Amino acid sequence: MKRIKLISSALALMLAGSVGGIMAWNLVTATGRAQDADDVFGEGFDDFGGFGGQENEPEEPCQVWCEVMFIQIDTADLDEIMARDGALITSTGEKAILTAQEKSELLRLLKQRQSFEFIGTASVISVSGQQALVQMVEEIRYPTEYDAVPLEETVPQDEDVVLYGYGGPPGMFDEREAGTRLNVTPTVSSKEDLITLVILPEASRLVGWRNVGGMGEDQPTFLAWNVVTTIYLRDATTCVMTGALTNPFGESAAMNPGKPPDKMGKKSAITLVSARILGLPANRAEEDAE
Amino acid sequence: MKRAESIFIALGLLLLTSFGGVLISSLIVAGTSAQDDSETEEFGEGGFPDEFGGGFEGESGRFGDGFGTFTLGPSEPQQVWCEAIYTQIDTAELDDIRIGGEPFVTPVSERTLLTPVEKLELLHELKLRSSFEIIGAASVVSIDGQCQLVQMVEEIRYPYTHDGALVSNGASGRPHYLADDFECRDTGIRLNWTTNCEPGHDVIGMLVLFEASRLAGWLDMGSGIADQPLMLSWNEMTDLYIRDGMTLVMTGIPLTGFGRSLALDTDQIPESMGSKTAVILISARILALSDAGHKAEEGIEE
Repeated sequence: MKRIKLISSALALMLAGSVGGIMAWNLVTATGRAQDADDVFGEGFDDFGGFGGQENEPEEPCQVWCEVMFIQIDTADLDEIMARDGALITSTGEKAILTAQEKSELLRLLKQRQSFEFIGTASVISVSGQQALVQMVEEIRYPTEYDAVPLEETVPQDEDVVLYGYGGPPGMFDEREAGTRLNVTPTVSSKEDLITLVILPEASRLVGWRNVGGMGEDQPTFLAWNVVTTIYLRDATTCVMTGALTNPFGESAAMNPGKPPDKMGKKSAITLVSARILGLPANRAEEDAE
Repeated sequence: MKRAESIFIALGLLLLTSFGGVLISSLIVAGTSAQDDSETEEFGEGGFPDEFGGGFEGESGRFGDGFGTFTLGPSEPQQVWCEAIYTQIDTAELDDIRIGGEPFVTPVSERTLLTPVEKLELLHELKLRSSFEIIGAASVVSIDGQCQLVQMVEEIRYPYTHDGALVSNGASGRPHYLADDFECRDTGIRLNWTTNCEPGHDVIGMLVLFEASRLAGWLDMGSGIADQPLMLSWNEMTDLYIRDGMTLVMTGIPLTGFGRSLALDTDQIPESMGSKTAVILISARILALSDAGHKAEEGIEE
């Protein structure tokens, strides 16, 4: 509900301030290419070979399902889960890689807690060696420069000073995408069931607009949770990465400047990255026929 | 700027030596104003040095440039789990903590190397103390030798330059200078890490940049200038070795606890000065791929 309010208020502000915001769901994978992928996703896409090359494709063509989950939970709840015998999540790294069953069990345990919250999840399927991107975002435009135009009035006691005001729209805009985004390049080794993932997931959220110039120069404040890493995963396993948040994800220090800091680290963050090698659809069809 | 330059040079040297020598440099900063542009250059938006992959900049191409060259690691695939934790606790309470029956704080120094069991014991003991706070923590898994980043931040935009023109109409009703350019500063938890493992050895070389930062408030600059943000940040930049599974502990006594601002809370500072101790834990573990494979097979069998 809070999120809906935030989005509604943000959209209202955008319209009122001539700032454009567009909700977008984009999915680009090697199995369904977008012609203007570079335009939409920026230069970073080229760096991984983009959609052009087939150099990394293994002899036996295959594709990979990849999923990322951003989770927030009370640190006290997580500590209780960690304190159990045979805990599926530890602070010493022993359980950094989970099997599919262990992942299901961990999610079940986490979901039992009231403080459990999905910040964002996304999954995508891509041919091995090809980059894929899925994003469910709000494209938020905001002004970066303002132009001043002279007003008719002057300061009576000092005629040299001319007062200015906003006579038109802001001079320049920039754009920031807020939402859930998963950018991944999976590469399957032809020898083993080993998947190499170059992965850049992000969960971000607009928390509000703040007048920073004193004259109506509203600027957006975003919360962002990013991971950029390259990992090995065996087929059907999950990588677990944890952390502790200074402020809960959703709480903004910029929007509540007078608010004294609560006790920090009350919320913990969990990122789950999973991958699975998918059999070719043709094989499945044959199996069905049999 | 000088500080930023020296840090860049230091990082370059660190990489050139490629973990060839033991060179530890750590930096803890508390109560740093956002107006110190060297902070922004160190860890701000797009501020990671090139040596760490650089180029996390731009809105559309965020994180694009620095991860372009993907190369497989050593012939024996190896990946590492790393974790960094920033905590603070009342100095008086830290003195009471014992690990394995021995005092954590000794007359000479604190314990600096912990086994996994000792780490859990320390964390358990710390959490029993009411003044204990986890300022931030992050863990990440990455292939050895690859640059990695995890961050949970708030992007705070603030006016950076002002036009010479006074504007009259505004929310405050007072004449203000027009803010015509804005900067963005990421505050929160940020961990940038690169490891270097020798196959067959259990020693992990690490290059770590870890930051916990927070917006403390907005400073009234007066004279029609827009308010400026006041950031608190603890940064650690270090190059170190650690044995597989072990945890390094570093401590320090900041002028004030994290969350307190010298600029915004001047009356309270003399009372609280030096009362908090920062405890930083850095852990690393080599993840055996064979284990993951067996586990996957077991999972399927089950």
